[in-house]
Amino acid sequence: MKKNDLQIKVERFLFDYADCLNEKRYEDFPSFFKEDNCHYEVQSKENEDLGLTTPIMGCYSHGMIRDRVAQLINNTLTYRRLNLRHFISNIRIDEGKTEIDLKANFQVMQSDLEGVSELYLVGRYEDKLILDHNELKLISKRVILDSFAIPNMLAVPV
Amino acid sequence: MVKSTDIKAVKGKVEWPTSDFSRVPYEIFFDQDFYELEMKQVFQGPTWNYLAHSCEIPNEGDFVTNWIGDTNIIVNRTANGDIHAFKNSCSHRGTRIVDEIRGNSTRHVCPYHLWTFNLEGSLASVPLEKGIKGKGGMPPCFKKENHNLRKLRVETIGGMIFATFSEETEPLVDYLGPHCESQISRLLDQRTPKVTGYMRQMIEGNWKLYNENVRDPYHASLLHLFQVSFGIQQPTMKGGIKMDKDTKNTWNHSILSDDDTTSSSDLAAVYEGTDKYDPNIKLADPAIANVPLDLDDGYKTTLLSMFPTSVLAQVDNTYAIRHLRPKGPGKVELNITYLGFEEDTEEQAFGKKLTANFIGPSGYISMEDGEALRLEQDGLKMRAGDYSVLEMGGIGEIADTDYLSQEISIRGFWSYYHKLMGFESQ
Repeated sequence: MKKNDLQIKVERFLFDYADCLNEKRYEDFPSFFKEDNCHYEVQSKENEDLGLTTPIMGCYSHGMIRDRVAQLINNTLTYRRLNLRHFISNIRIDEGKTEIDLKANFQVMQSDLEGVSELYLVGRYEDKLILDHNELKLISKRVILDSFAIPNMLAVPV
Repeated sequence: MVKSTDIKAVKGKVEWPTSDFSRVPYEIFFDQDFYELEMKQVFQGPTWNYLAHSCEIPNEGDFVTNWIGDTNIIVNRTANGDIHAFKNSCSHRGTRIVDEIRGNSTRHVCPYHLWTFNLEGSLASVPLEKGIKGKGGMPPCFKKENHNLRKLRVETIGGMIFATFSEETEPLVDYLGPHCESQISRLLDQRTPKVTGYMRQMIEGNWKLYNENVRDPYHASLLHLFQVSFGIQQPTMKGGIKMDKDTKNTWNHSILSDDDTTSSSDLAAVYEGTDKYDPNIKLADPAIANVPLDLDDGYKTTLLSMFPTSVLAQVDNTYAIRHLRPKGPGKVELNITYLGFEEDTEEQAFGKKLTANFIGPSGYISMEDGEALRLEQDGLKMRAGDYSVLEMGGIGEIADTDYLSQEISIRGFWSYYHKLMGFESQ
């Protein structure tokens, strides 16, 4: 695939990923990950820079990723009902032999039920993707938070 | 700051209608005057406050900064291995000296006029102290020894470093009491702790609401349904709460035992009328619930809550020190230090990464506390002149229990708080 085509494809993949979360279609979230081999981790910039490994969220199998959103789907979690909106920018890809390295910046705004909006999180993605039957799938997604003083809680994946 | 002449007026703003503290006036959670009084009476008063774990500052010159209430503190290690703590504010003009979270330095130099302090917090040098060519300089009466940083008393237990502003504070082990002493030893002295991560959660609630929360096993199995479904803490489980002599510190624990035969139908009865408990919930990947406990004593949770702002917590196989950093009456930062052990095998270390999903701001068990406290703060602000109700487990005497669903230890917290704030003498 031409580099430019791949860049466009990856960007569309990221925007679809964000929409799944923004639109609260949590049951679709695991489908962005490769089923037999995938990681999802949310880490603070503080720990990342210190080389400390305890994650905020750490899913090391597709099942763990499904478990992460299960409580959101079956509605057993007590969490604040907010509308989240992701803004993803500075998207860069590096194509290796089998994997695509992706870096991007993100910002997530939160809007409460009375329509008051504020910045929720800012940080960066460090992802690894593969093309699986011409479809992009995440084999690793690392979310590194600059805003690691988490406001209230982090229930919904980023 | 609260003027001493005003203290009586501030304390007179509320009443404590019951002597067993089963009623708590809501104003103390949102009124700025009480917050300011707490900074003086509680945080600068005869209390021990957590600063760091000694494994974070192993070498000479290693330092971290932390907060005791509103006050930023530098804690560091000197050449002979001693640990010293002092206020992070220059004795000259009040400037914050160290503007980093952690690091290493042989001395602390104020960025403004380069006044330099040694690792004991004593003033070592003042630029131009003697002036230039006989002109200027400090007056003859200026003595460096009169201008050290405000030093705090420091004591450690299980490597946990505590400091106090007051000369009156009793020795740390007496302050913590025998249950904290033995449980800190159980959790931290058997192996060599190391930090595996930090976490921060900004909670839109008063710092005392969090103190209530950790002394409240009544909520644990009602708000946090995940841990019920996966057998970490259930209302039918063995356990209880034990307090120190002042009822200010608590040891809350739950134990998994062989005769723990709670069936899902028993549990379903507890949750009848709610739509929260789902007996059919299953994990797609049960690995996180199958991490074996490091210690073979069956404790599923151990929560040591140490007045006013420190918690040492073992939840399932996670180990963490939680520290509260109040940010005004309506907000508190929960600052968490995750611990592992130098002796951990690779498998145990990975197990701790898995079980980290239980705790912190995204923890299957604990993330809901931030939300509960936000809602509590939002609601109680409307209740000036009214009181919260603490009757679960019984009223009257404040005593240890061998059951979990109780609020007695919350009353224990208030009893000591009330005394420390000086409400009794109003």
